[in-house]
Amino acid sequence: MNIGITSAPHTETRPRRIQRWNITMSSLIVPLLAMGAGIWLWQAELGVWVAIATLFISLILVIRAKSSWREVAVWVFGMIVIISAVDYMGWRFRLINLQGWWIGIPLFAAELFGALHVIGLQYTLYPRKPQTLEQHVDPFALPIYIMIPTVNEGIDILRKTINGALIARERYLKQHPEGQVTIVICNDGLVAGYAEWRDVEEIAELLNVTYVTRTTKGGAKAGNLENARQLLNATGNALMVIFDADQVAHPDFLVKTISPFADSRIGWVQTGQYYGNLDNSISHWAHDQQALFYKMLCPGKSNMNAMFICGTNVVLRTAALDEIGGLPQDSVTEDFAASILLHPRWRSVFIEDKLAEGIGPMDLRSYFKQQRRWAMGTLGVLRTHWKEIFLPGRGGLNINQRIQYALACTHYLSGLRDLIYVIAPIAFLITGIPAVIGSNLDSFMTHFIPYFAASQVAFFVAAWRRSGIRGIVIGFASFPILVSAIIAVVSGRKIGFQVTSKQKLKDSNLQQVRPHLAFLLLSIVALVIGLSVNYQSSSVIVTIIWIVYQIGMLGAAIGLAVADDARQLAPFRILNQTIAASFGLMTQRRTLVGAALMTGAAIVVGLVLVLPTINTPVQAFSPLINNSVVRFGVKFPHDLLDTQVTVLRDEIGTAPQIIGRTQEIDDNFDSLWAAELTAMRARPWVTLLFSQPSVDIYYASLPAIANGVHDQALQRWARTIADYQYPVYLTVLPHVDRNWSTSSAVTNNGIPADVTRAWLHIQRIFADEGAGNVAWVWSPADPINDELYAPPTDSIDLVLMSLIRYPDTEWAAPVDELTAFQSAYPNTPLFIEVSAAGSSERKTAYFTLLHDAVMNVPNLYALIYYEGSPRPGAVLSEHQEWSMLSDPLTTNAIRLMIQDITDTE
Amino acid sequence: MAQRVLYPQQAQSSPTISLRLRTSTRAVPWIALVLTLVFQTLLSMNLQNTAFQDEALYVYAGREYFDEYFFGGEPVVEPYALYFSGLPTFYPLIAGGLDIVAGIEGARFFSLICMLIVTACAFVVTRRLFDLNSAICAAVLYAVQGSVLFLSRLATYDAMCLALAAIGTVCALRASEQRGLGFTILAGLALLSAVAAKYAGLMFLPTVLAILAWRTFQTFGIVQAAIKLIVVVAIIGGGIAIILTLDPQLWIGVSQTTTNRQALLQTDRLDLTLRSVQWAGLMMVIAAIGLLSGRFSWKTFPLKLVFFATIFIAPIYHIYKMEGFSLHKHIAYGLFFGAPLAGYALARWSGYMTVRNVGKKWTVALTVILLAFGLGLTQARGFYAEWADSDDLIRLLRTQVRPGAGRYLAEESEVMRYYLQDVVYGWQWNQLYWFYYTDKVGQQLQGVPAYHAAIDEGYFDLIILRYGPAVTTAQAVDDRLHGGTNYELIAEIPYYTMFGEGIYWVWRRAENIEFSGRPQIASATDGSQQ
Repeated sequence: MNIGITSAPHTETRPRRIQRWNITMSSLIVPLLAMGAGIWLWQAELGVWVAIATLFISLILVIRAKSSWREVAVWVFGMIVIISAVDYMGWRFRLINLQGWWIGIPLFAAELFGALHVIGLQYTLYPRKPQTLEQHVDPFALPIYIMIPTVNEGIDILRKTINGALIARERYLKQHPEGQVTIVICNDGLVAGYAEWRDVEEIAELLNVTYVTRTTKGGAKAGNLENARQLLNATGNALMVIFDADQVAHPDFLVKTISPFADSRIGWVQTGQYYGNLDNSISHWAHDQQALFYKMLCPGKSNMNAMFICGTNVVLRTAALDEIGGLPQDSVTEDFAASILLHPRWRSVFIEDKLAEGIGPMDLRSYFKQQRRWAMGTLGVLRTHWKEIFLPGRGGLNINQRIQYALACTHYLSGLRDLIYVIAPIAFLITGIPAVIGSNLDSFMTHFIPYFAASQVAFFVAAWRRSGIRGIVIGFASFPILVSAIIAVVSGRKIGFQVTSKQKLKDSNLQQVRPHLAFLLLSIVALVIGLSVNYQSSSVIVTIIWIVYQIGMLGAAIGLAVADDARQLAPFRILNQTIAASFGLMTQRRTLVGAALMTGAAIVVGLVLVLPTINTPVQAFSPLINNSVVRFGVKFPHDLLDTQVTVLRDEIGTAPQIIGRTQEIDDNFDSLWAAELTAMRARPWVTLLFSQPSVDIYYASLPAIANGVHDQALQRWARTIADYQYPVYLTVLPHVDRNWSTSSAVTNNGIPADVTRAWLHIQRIFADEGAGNVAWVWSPADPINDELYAPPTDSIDLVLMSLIRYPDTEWAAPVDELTAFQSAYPNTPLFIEVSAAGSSERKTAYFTLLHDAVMNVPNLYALIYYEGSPRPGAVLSEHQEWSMLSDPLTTNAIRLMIQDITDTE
Repeated sequence: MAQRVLYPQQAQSSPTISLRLRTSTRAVPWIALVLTLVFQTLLSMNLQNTAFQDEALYVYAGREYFDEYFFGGEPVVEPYALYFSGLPTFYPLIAGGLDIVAGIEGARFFSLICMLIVTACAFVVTRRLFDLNSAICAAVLYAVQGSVLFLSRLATYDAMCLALAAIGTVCALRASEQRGLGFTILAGLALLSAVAAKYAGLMFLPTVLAILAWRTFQTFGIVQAAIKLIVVVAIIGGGIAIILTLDPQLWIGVSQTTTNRQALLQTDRLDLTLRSVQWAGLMMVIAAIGLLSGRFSWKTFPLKLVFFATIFIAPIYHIYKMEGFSLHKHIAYGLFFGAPLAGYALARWSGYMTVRNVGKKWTVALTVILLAFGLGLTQARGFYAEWADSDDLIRLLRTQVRPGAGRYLAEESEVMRYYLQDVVYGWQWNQLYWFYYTDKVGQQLQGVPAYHAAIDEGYFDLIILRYGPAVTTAQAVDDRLHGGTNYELIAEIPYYTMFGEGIYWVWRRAENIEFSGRPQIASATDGSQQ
């Protein structure tokens, strides 16, 4: 160990005076500024920009620091976390659903608790100078008592611990021959009713170490230690080392831990508690969780002189214990309670080096029991010592110590927090009652994502090479047991000190994860409900993401239990180990690699399934006149679209080859419908209107179209039609020559000259999007007299004539109209759309005439029946009146006509 | 007596970390600068709105010039030189060219680049005057100012003028450090360009000249200082003389917009003072601390005083003229000169100069800059919301207009003319600043009577009012519209600005009304002034 001796400067140089002035100023100004900035951020609602600003400004400022990257990163992300947490909680406070208070308030409280601990974590991790210790005495002259309390751990385990202590003593005495080190086995086996308690004495005698067998019970581990301490007179100016029976000291333990006692203010030196049995899944994951504490938090606590006693692998000054009357015996975490009493007068130090190794819990039951004991202990201390921690002027702890004890005491409330986190999304998806109101996805992303992302990044930066996600998962998995511990503490129930089992129990781990299984099932049910109800709602989307994350965490906890059980089935051990390893559940690094690979694979599969197919060349489509192929088509009003096609096909005897419908510009091209038509060997014909519900009619005007108001929507249509690839007939600007048209050239600010501009503008957009599979159907109300309105002939693929015959009106002879139509467009393929309502005889007569007329139209491309009433908003009975199937005579006349024109080939 | 022992706790707590930031690496300060510029870019991208009236005007004019010069288009007839506050064929030409390529965002991107240059220059100037720590603080503090962020997203003369002035300042500093005249000439050219970009750049010439003269005098004596001063003044003066000789109309522009400007938006002096404090106060205070910090020296103090005083030039000019227009833009000019002092103060005050480890002292700098950022971003958002988002209006107008047919009267027609240039010719627009009209009996009218006659005779196809800067004329037009039957109100389009809500009133000539007057030969001219 390096100990440097420094002396105070004789004169204070100018830079040093500046530095002192700066320190004084900053100690006043920093809190004031930080408070001002916090208030400002609270009200300014700058959201994600605060996090971005903090990131950039911090990076810019610290880039010249002589610090490690990790320190810089911890500093930068710590700042971001604190500021974004303030921003998020400020925003979140305004969104509590007080109507649904039973979920709104608990969730907010849980989030607030989480935010405070996140801030507390960053505060603890904040890079600080280590404590400056002084040298008052020679610590190596102090007598040392190595106490090894034991109950029922077994001789094999205890032998290793004693051997470790012997080697450590030997190494220490080699360096400090004047030292005195006594190894004491504190045997509690007799009072605990352990059958082989005499074995402990035998092994102590065999290894030539002192032992004390207690005959009067009480005070659990603390009582055992205190009994031996008093018996051996380990009081006053001495040091007491505590090793749990499974904690094997490394040879240099004493060498490294005694020197800080040169400072007579030092009360104890704590070292880490690491597990050696990492081949066991549970202990490995528990080890990672321990590492969060020992490798990340403890160095920070130590720098603030707030490191508390952790019960083992610790060296205590007995004089300090004397002051408080020995180790408290009314708590199952006597070490923690003692620290609160000692810290006002004594300093503490933590050494991060691995100086001892123990045996971690080997199954979930042992792990949960350990967690429950710690939770009840620290929560019990909170109940008994809250005044010393929270009330000013009480207890003598300084502010940093109070913060650290408060964080430690409340840490195990995280079980309740996690329970609320698990229940809240399930409750929302099942009951529909949200915990948060008045937000939207954008706002959520702005406030939550920076906070969440920053806290995750900050954590993993600090945890890099120290701990990882396994620690988080197993910590989360403890929540049911922590909740039961909280209930026990609140209800005043007491538990005795129980040694964590050092052997694997026979019970199945699955018994321990029954609550997790129940919540997993509930989460899956809630997820199904969420996906089936209204997954377009932003709150549902957020909740679904949350619940998927939750399922992952619960699944990981259950998976850990299953894998560990599977590995223990002897006949299949090798096979099961292979399976467990392949699923990433082995305890080594493969766990994360496997999980990452599986997640990656899932994402790839998802992308393959979800992403639309990459654009393929679009078939160019140009309808040609071919007398041998005249198509029969049907156009439907919207409400008959899905029901009538098969009926008509059966009744008419000819399957329609063109199916038409009318849509508005805000709709989408119905690719599914079009694909169904393709399967039926039919082609879609869409009449596209520029009207929009609740939008002023001006926006459907021809200038609006020509001037680009609908460009985005048209591009969307063009892209989806291009993606469809098969031929599509498209009518735009129908009946543009009439004032009833939504896009009229005679009203609504439209003039005839606008038609060509609008028509070509639309076509240009489709061409730009590569929608060459569109045939453009020009559909004026009067195609025979449309010279004033018609766009250039070469931009028209088909012309439509509508022969819609209303009852109680005069019906012109079709042959005359078709002859004129054919003369107006002699070389253009023609669509003829027909429909009629009236008496059966009249319709039959008309269709017979039409039959004759269409047979003489050489450029007829398709005959299309409009299967419904042309009146907007017509009801089913009205549609029936206009149907091909309205009466047998009409149906027959139409059937004959269709058979004739389609049979010509 | 106890000895003090340093227990190496920290060294043990992170023994595995070997990567360290290398302060000796020459790239580090530039990384800090690049981070600052990226940050400024991100922040400025936070500002979103449709084109401001001035942006629309300059960019449209620039496109006209671009079309004339590079595409053989028709000569520009609009006398922009009469009322533009910078050389019409300089910045507008660049902005117009960029607009052709990438629209208004292209022109705004150029402004962003210019403002990034200004921030970089603030860094360089501070580094030369003080030290690297101060430079880093100065650059990041300047980059988050509301006025700076605003100019970074505004396609007007200001960003380019400021960038050229900043480059001129850097060149002047370099020139003062060497005997040669290379940087002196460059400084002269840069400053001349700054003035050409925007005539108001003249206001900041004395500062740069003082820096050049004083620093040269300190290093090389009075003769060198005089020579360099003469060279720079000759370049600037000569250049201006040549430009004014080539286009005498520019005299009027310079006079009306800069040297003899009449306030466009007359504002109370106290109000202007408070605005100045609100927008630049934080920087002023920090710069003042910078002025008073450090050991007093006759060698450096006058220079620091010049920098400090320059912060106040724009506010004082606006307060004197009682001009509320463009103060928020001009603030950024002075802040450029205040940034070095503020950076120095912040670096010193926060312990940034003496403590090289990450720790709480740096939190002071972080907090101050975060505070400046919060103020700056909020102010910039406010500045950027001073004009209405015209999307809804333009969308409606697209349902009404057609190329070469129809005449449209609009308040702030520049924005509509810009956004509808693909479907409406420029001559189809008229606005409320100035209007000539010959009625059907041959009477030549101007002003309100002209508008009234045109309305009576159905001259305009559309009339768009919003009761903005030309509220009096708008009211007169509105009275006539309500009093007659020639026009129907077809839309009321709400808009929101930082000043509150408003409505665009869109009137269209009734369908049964035809224009009954005589064909008009001349249309209106734009009258927007800066």
